[in-house]
Amino acid sequence: MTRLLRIELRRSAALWFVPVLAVLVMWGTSSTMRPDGAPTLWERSSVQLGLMFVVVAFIMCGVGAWAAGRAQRRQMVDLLATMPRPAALQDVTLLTSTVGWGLVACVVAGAYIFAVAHREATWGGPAWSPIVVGLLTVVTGTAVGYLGGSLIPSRFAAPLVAVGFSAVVLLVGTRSSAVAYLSPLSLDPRGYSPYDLFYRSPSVPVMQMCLWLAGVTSCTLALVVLRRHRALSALCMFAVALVIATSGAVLVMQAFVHPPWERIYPGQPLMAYEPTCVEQVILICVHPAYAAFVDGSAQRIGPLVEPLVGVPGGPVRAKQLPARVGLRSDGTLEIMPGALIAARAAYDLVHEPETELSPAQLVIAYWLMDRVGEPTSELWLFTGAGQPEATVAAAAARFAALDSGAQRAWLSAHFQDLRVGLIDLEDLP
Amino acid sequence: VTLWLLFLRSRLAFPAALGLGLIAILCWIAGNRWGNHADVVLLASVIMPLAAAAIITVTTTSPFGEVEHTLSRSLVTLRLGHVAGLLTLAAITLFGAVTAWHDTALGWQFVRNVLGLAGLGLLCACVLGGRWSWTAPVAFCMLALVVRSATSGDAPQWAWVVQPASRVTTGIALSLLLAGLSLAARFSGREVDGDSTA
Repeated sequence: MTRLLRIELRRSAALWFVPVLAVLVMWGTSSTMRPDGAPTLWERSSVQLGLMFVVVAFIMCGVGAWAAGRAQRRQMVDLLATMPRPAALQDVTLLTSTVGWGLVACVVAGAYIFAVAHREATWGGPAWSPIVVGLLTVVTGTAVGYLGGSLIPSRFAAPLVAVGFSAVVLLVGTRSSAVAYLSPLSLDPRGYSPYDLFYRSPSVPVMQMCLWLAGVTSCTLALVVLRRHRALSALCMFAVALVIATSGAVLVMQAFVHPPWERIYPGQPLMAYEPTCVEQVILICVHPAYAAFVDGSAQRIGPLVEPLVGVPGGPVRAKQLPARVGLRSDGTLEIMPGALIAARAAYDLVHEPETELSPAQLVIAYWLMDRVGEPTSELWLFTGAGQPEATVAAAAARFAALDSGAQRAWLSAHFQDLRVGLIDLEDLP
Repeated sequence: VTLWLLFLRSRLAFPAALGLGLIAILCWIAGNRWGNHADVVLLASVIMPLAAAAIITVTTTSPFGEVEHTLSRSLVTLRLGHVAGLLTLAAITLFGAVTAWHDTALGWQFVRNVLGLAGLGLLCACVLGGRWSWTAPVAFCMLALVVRSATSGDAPQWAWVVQPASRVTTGIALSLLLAGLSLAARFSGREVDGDSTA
């Protein structure tokens, strides 16, 4: 058996896929684990790695189908029938070797991603659930492909089985009912929210998922054996596998309290963390996961808020907070490190949260950004349509033409009124 | 005519045409039942053309190898005719099937995807052989879907397969098709049928 496995490992077509799949997973994970310019986060990296393993499973499904059709392609069916061992042994060794190389590709890529995350991430640790589920999906996908290749002896088998398996996994994952949890894709929070890192991630019933995937794998194996050898023992094996798969499916659907992509944060406990802070005009603090961004953020936020420091109702500190709150009454300005940090801060500074931006507020926000050389066009990403940029720019230029003393005096007298929308465009100096 | 028929038979073009018809029927049924679900529409616009493209590119496998070169007629015409015929059939049937969907503008997106993915598959066939030609389109589509999901729907231009039909994405797809067709005309899914591995 060991010798046969060694031969299969050496002669497996999946061996040639190892470097290609490893590069695919490395590149795919690296390019998606930092969405919207976010820093490297362990949890996001783990989820993306798990998702890329599912992509590997789709391809390995086709490779499994290809491997299953080998004897027929080589016209060796009769020859192999003379092997003095149970026929199912051929399938087990061939499938094991194919799965083995798929897992090797995943492990190699995973080691690279872990090295990158270990070097770059400044907070947290790896999340194992998506990775384990992803690896198990590779095993299941290859087994399903092998079964498909055994049943459809055609050159169309590999692509059709691979595309069919992908379609089922993807379509099941899009359902809004509990059935969606049967897809390994349900472990993905479907997109990324920068507030995720403040809260404990939704618990994933990894044991139940393992039972479900192991059940499906056992079912396919039992069917492969049953196809070769229609005996009562094989039938019993299939029945047991079916029971395992059904129990796994039921347990998975019961285990999820609510869809992991529905972020129900209010009322949930925050995860304990020590913020990373620097002093730049005001105290600027970020979540430790964003520690690498703190200096860059401070250099953009400090000069931006400078004219408002000391003004009644102005900011006294800037912090990355677990919710979108803007400028709070205690003088804390909520910031989100990233490319749009300045535009977002300027937008939040001049108006109360959940109100429309008035033309006068837009002018002051424009002036705040323009005076420190920030790209003012980014403001329109927050305000949407409304005032034409030329009108706002002209009013902001009039305000900028005042000397700094006059600007400060006006802001001291009117900033609070401006924030609540009591100042019109005509009231600006 | 006999030569054409024999060539198409050797490439399993007739079962492939049947498969394309089945995909179109499946697409039509899916459109009637779930045509207004955004997620299903997105997945169908990737999966259905992917299945069609995979079927077409797998048929480029030559069962004869070098013996085929002894033919007194130009192989380029036969190869191009075979692939172009199946592509036309796939484009027409998918476009027709998508009329059942709520967003009829999807038709062009399906056609673009089947042409572009077939181009990618033909390129892959020249490198790995016809039998492995499906690997590149499958990997590309799944990667594009993962990237789209990770970027909250704002996928980059290279992931053209998950983008709505536009000049740029159509240009990319047609470029892939032209490159794939020109190589397929010359090499035909690699002369050795890619079955050298166990």
